[in-house]
Amino acid sequence: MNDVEERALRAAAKGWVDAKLLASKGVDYSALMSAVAKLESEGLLEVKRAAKCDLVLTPEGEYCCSNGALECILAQAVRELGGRATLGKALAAAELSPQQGAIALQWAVRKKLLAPRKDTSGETVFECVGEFVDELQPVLEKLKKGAAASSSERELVLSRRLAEEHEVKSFSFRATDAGRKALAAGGRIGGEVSQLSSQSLKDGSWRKLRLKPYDLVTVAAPLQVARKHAYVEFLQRMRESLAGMGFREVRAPLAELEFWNMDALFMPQDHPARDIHDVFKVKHPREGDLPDAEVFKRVMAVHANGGDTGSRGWRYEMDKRLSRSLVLRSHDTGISARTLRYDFRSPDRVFFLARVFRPDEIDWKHFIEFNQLGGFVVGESLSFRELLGCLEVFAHEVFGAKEIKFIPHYYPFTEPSVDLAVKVAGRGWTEVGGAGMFRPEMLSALGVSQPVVAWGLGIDRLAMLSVDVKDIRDLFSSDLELLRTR
Amino acid sequence: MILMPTVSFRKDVFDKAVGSKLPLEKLAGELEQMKVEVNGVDANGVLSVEVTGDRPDLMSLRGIARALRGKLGVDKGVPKLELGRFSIKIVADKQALKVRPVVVGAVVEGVSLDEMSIAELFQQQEKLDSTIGRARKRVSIGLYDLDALKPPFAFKLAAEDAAFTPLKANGSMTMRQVLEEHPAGREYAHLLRGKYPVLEDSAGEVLSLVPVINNASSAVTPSTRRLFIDHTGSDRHACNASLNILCQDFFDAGCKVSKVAVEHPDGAKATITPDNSLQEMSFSASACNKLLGSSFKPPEIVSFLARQRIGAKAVGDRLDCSIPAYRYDFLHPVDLVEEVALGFGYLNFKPVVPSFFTRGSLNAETLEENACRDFMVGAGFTETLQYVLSSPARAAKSLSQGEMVEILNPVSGDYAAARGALLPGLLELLSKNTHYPYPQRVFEVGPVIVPDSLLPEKMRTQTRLACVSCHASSSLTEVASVLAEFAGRFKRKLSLSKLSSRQFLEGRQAEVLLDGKPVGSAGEVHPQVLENHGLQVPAAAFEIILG
Repeated sequence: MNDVEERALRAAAKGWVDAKLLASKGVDYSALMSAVAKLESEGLLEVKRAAKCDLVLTPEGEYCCSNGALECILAQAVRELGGRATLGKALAAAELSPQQGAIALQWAVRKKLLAPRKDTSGETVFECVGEFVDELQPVLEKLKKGAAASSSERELVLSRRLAEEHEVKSFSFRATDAGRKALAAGGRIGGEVSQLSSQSLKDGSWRKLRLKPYDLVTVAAPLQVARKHAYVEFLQRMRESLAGMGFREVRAPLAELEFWNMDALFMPQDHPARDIHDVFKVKHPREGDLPDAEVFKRVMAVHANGGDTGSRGWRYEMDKRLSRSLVLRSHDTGISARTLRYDFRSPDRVFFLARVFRPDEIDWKHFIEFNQLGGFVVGESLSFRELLGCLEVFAHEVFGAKEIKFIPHYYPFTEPSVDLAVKVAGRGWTEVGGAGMFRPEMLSALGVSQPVVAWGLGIDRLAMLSVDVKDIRDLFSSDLELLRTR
Repeated sequence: MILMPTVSFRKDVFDKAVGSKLPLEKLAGELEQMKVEVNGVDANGVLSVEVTGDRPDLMSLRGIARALRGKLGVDKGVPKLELGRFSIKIVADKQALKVRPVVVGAVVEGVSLDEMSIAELFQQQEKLDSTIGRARKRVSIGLYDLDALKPPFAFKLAAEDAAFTPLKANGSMTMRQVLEEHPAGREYAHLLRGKYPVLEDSAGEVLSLVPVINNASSAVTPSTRRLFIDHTGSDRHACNASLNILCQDFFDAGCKVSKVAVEHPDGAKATITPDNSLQEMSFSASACNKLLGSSFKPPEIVSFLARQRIGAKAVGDRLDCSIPAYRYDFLHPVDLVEEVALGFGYLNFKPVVPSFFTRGSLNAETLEENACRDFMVGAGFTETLQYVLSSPARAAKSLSQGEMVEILNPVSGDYAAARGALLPGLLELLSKNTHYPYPQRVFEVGPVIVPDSLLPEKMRTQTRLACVSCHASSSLTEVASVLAEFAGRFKRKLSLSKLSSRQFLEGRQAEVLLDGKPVGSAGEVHPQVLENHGLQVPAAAFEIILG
């Protein structure tokens, strides 16, 4: 009997012991598992295995647990506003975020706490209808305390994503009579030993030893093995695939000047995608320095009147302060602009896997931080057909697409512009991103005179398929169980 | 990211305007290839579509029908548009033009609107206001029942206490009250710079406080037969294009559309609006073919453009094009090349792969990160991946020092800053896994953002490696030996010097130096930090800068 086995048996001599509890007292869990399996096979331990689902509150659940169900908060706010109010006023009074507000309204109407009416001016207002009781909060409080929930309560909180199921496997054991005897006998069982010792090899006593045979059904307890992250590996395969096709990888900073994120791409400063609702701005410092007076001058000229490109431009004067303003990059095209300006080669194939940031709803398919696969090809002879050719290759090689489709689209920095849609096993048509030939206004300002075909593809939806998760946030999961099984 | 306005309208009216009824799937396929994405048809027969932001002319039933008729070959070339001579004028005042430098208008007669078509018209007005109009800054549209008004109209400034009854209000309000109390007033007051520009008729009746809200007395209703349309804004080109879109739509619907004269102060010559002259632009067939990788003959190009409702004449290699005034998306001849590609059909292009040789490579930092990841997994640590977005609260929880780059407009307090260190995320991860068997050994290789006043961006994106080992006998010795092996593997010289950080236990922590350069720290995590995370098992950690 080795140390771990003896420790497990000793702990189990007085009754049931929980494996995790014992492990938390400093016994290596995987060693403990194999020890218990071995002792069980020798009939020294009795083992009880069980799995149950605990409900753990989600952040939304925590919020409702402390503040009440969202629809009740909203209805209460309307009541305090005199029983009727516009949605805007009610939300402000209820101090709910827009996402919470949408959920609150949906449930308040569904549960008939509030009813929409048109007021005299034709504006929609919401009215309180009767009394209401918050049946959700007590359930959440109960769950938070760890109490068991009825099946209907369970369904209620799960369907509203206020709680999530965490499967908890428990594993406990106690010593059998034989086990207690073996312990008393110092690990020796009926003259059989369970471990070849180094002493017995030294003194030759192994010749007289009777080693107990294993029960081959229980001998193999799984080992906890360190591993790489499945999603990082997915990204890595993508990188290798592109490098294999002759693309070189480049990088650029995550915090960026609006100049590189937008202006240099010929995106006018009043473009809707530059709105404060679509880009994360840095709080301090607000502004950086324009690095390159020459390129700035040319970019300013193409915005104003097309410069010497033959374009009429956007016909306004760029505001330098906005160009200097600092953002977290909201897409990956700025990396192309930087690379074309500071690391130009021809012919060239370039790619980047870029973390980008964009204000959005947060739900199972949207997050405010995600990865894009972008890049471009430079060459004197390039045309729109080569752009489509590149996209076709990516669709098959990178995404494993069965079918592909090109859809006309609009981007301020490319013309012609196209979207790529792919059909992959397990789901229908998915638009994976945009592409096009960089506009002459953008290229000229960066000092490039050759055609450039470029693209930026979203990869997280396909990563979800590859890594086998249903929620985009699980690509960045904190769950060790998930990390070790994906 | 690019705004795709949603537009919905009755499918039966649309089919009539197109002149043929395509099965929905076929229709969706055709529209998809002309920048219109079909969402579906609801139970009331209302078709909902999304349109790309560059095509304000496609934000209406008539506009899409017109484009589709071209694509299907029913109509070709520049659509017909006949505008009647002006009989109504707007007299613009200098002070009003200082606030809104552009005012244009048109008159539509013979309209017959029901509740649905009024809703569709208002929808189009709102989409134009928000896209080409940039939230009414560049362009703002007004629609009025002309029979309720007495032309000519004046564009002038009103007094603060002048009153009218705005739409969506209960009674008469002063200009000031509108801006302070009316929802539209509050939304658009910032465009007015404290002035009250109005359109007024000859009887002194206010048409609208531009670009905020109309007077209820001249509101468009199903009994309206004659419309007056005005556009005010900051950009003449955009105002004119938007007005042309509405004029072409009404003309297509069979209405009589007439121009309006705008008289300027100081006796300058009156402008007749809208200017519906065609936009002229030329390009060469050979340049077009080079860009598209095609070998179209000039007459073919002319026919592709005709399907896009663009007129073209081939003069040798040169194509002289006439673009309808309702199109607002032509900056450069390359925009005509896209029209050629659309007219030919994206799906008809044969893709080719660029044939020249280039050497593929992974970035040096990627290679270094991968080597670190291999090493850490070999050392028994499981890889994790965290968001760069984090919060000052999370950093505080692990007593992490150093300045964090905060976000001005976060959507959630949990993601209100960019992380300046990896360790807080790893500790947070451990705090969520206390039910999981120990030992727990985790690491992450990834970017953090740290202030750096020397860079133009004032911040540096830095790649780091951090790990935590959490179990009953974790210690500085354990993580330091990982570092020692790490240094050996990568041919660097490791040294440790004394450190005093609140994150770690006093006397059981060290600054990490590689080749004599400080790169990070290592230590046994301070019990206060463990307690903050609800951890009841000791932990040791290190975090170093790579590169």
